[in-house]
Amino acid sequence: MNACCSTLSLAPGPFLTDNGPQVACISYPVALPPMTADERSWKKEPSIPLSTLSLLIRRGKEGDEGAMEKIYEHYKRPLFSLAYRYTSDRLAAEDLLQDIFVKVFSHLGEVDRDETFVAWMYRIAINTCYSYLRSRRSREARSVSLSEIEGKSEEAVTDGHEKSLAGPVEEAVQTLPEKLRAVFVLHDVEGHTHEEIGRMLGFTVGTSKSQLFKARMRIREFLKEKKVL
Amino acid sequence: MKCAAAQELISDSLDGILAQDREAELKVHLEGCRDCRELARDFASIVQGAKGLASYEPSAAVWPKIAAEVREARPGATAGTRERRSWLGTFWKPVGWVYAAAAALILVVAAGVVIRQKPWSTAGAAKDRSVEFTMAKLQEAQGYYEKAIQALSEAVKFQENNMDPRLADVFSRNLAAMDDTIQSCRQIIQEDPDNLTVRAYLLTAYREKVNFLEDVMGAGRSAARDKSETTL
Repeated sequence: MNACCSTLSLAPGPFLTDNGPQVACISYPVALPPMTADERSWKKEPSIPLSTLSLLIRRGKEGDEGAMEKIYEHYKRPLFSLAYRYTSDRLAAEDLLQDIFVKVFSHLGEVDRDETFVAWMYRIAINTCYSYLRSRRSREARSVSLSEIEGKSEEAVTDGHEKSLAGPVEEAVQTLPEKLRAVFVLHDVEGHTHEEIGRMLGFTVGTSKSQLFKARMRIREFLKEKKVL
Repeated sequence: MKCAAAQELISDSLDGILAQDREAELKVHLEGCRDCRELARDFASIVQGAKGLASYEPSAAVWPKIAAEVREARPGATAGTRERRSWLGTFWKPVGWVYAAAAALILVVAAGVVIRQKPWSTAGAAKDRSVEFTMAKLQEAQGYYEKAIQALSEAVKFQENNMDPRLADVFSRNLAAMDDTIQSCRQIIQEDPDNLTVRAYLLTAYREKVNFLEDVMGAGRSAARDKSETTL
């Protein structure tokens, strides 16, 4: 665990049984630089302490549904948000979330080292999202009218966000290639470190940094074209 | 420092992972380079905007579906469920289906007798015998339908446990509506046992219930087949 996790992680009991209020208590850095060491890694969803996670994994392997539900409750928001940013469709994102957790819990017995569990789970999530994109692209290639309809619906959604920067950034994220999108969402939206992203995606830290740089550059170009920056 | 190198350092600087000496070098470069200053400002806005993006919450319906699928996929549970299902499948065919088929056949016979002998227009003893025969056949058909429904209901009960909660709700409501009709018909028949029309309604309601349960069984088998094809 890094320094950040020790400051942001919460007591196992109440944290695991009631995620909502705890998340609301976390304050995110308002201004960017300069950052302190503790702020370098921030997360929208703080980590479960490893000892608690290990216990949940062990119980989950034994078939304890309550333990699985606690794991789900903790990771459902970041993984659903990730899936939503790949699908732009709530129902499709829920289907992906279901697929992800069914795969995770069905293969829980394959987790040898508990400290790798989160990266492993995210890797499953990202691969599931990639598969979804590939099958969607294939469907769109077969149906011109469908892609036209989707283009129109995306335009309609973004109209409501024009006044804030979050809206155009969200729109820009949708235009990123799948790997750049994964790195940008995991780092800049969810607050994972390059080390964590490297473990999740099978990258080196250097690759994660360069992918993030490319993603930010693409988003900048998009926002400039939209005259938001 | 060249701009290309400075631009990569801007990203690291924003993330707070740039060493102090490199930070100082970058600062010097930024003071003299308008383009890189602009890039640093834009990147800062993007990072700020990204941090402000919403975190989405899935609906409460997702977890029960995950739990049901995991329960089914669990080695012990899977074997048990599949074994039971396959046993029920073979049980249903000779018992449930035969009862329903027998009931349908009896109804055809009864309807033939009713049409041929026209009990409502025939007089005297012949009419009584005809009505008696029709009633006996209808009661026999009713008995077979009841047995068919019992066999099917037991089979469907196992599937209901693994059903999507929303689907289970629709399933229960449909079943309740059919049971209401059956109950009402039976009540009228109890008060007026010779009422052939209501007996016919009752058998129609039974047949509808058999068809409905059979459809549910079929849907459950298809879902189980799809699930077994899911791999990591």
